[in-house]
Amino acid sequence: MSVADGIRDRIGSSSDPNDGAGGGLKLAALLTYLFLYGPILVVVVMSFDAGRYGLRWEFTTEWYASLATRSDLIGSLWLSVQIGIVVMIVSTVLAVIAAFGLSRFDWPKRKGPIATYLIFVPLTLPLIIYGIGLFVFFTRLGIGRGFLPIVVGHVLYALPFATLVVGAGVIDLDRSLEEAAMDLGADPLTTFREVTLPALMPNIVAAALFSFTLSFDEFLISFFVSGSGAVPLPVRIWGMVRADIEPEVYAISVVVLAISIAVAALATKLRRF
Amino acid sequence: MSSQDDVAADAVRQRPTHEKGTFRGRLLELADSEVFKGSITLGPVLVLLTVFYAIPVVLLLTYSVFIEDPFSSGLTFDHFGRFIDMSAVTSFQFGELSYVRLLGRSLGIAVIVTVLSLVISYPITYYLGQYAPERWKIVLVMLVIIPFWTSYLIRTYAWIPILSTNGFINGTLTALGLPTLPLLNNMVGSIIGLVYVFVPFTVLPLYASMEGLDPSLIEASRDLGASRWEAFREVVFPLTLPGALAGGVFVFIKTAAAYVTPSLLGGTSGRMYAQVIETQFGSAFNWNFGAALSVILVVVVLGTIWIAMRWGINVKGSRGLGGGGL
Repeated sequence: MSVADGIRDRIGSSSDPNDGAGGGLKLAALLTYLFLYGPILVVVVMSFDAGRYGLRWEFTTEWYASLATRSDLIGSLWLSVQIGIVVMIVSTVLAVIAAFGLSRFDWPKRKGPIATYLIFVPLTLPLIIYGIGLFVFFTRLGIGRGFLPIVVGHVLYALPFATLVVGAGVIDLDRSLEEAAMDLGADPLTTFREVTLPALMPNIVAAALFSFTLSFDEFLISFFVSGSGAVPLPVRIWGMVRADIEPEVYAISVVVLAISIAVAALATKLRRF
Repeated sequence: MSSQDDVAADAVRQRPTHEKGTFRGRLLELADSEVFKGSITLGPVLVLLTVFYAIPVVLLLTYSVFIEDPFSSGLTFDHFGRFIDMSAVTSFQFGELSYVRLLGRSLGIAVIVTVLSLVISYPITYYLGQYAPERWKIVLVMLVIIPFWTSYLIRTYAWIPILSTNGFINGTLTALGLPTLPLLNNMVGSIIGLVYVFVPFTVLPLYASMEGLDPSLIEASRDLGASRWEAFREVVFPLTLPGALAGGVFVFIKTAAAYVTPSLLGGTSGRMYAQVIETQFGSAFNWNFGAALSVILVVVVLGTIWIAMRWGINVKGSRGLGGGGL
């Protein structure tokens, strides 16, 4: 390419920033969004389809109507919500405590990094190993499968994420606010309650919402530690997909997607980038 | 975290707040010692991690070296021997090493999925980081992150009506008079589904790199006569590669251990390693062999991270960025 070409190119690109590479990238970005949201759209389309997999698509709401009669699905949905709320509370409280521990105190050399690694190991080891490990652990304890193992598994699964979200807030926190409060005579507990917590609130709420969706959508741990009495919705959906005979699966999936997208959108908005 | 200022500030503020002798005063004094603060904040979390994470995982892995129940039966390496069948190795019958082959195929799929994720991530993050209009940027980035936090199980099986023989893609091909493609219940199905669920792991760290890239560097290279492609290849790509690789490591280790996606979309020819592990606990009831297979998977995952860190890839930098669900 000659210098003249380069100059012409430059002038062209500065007069219209969206031509050439910009336009190509825009198209590529658009296709990526199609890739990300296409399948979600497909689930919605299929949930209103009278015949399944047929080439002709006919509108119906009968699968949504029949959801109301499926007490097993409603029971599982309710169970997943309950587990999600318990996990949300426990892991958020632990995450706030852990985030302060990780980022605020002067650790003796090396112990700080070790503590950090320990908290983030669950992010790197395969989830299937943890799910099976919990199953073996609770079986050996004689507790077996059910509500408690699911909650325990989900808390440990959500905790690293929640800690990261709260930790980001703790690091960004303007310490001079706390120092000002202390200088004005507030003791550490009052300072924490009146200054630190309110300043961290967006991150704490985001961590809570993320913990809820993580638990609500989690399948693999539940798959290994849920029993006949306590089947969370994702495990129920897995069974429906494998059996491939229940058209309501798309309708219940739309319900799940609506809940988790709403919660995730809210959390993402609260979390500072 | 520590600085002289903090120490000085502590010294100044401690005096008025501690009412000596009262219970509250003594409590606050205790609360000021670093050891106490450290153990009360991280203590409960570390105890939980030990009891409910480390012990279950280690307990599972110990099954691999015992004949039956851990600690109440004899030690053995037979379970690993079943994975690497030495008689097949010594007679050069490598085709009979079905578990090794399965692991090899899973790692091969992991390489393909990692490369595809990186290829898909570059254009969109380049656009978001350098070209996207400022006021739309936050919304556009949020739109990438949100699917990451929603049910991967549902987003995976959503591909069944898209890829199946009479699904959306093949239906369109048939309508156009073209032959149908085998996309479901094979390796292609696994790969498409895996790229779909794991691509945010490369998009998010790469976006951070693209965002931080100084646009004047691109302009300078263009002023010096580089074409758009040359500017990307010589300036943008080398500067953003570290972020991309950090995400790539995560895609690789997540794919190597994938269970849900190959089970739903892979059929028999797209079968992957983690599915054999599940079989040992779900239907074969051979916990010890399943544990041996698990040990090998953990070694592969930790080994990958170790190698990546040796190569200078900032694995920690990308950890959990933005998302989960996997």
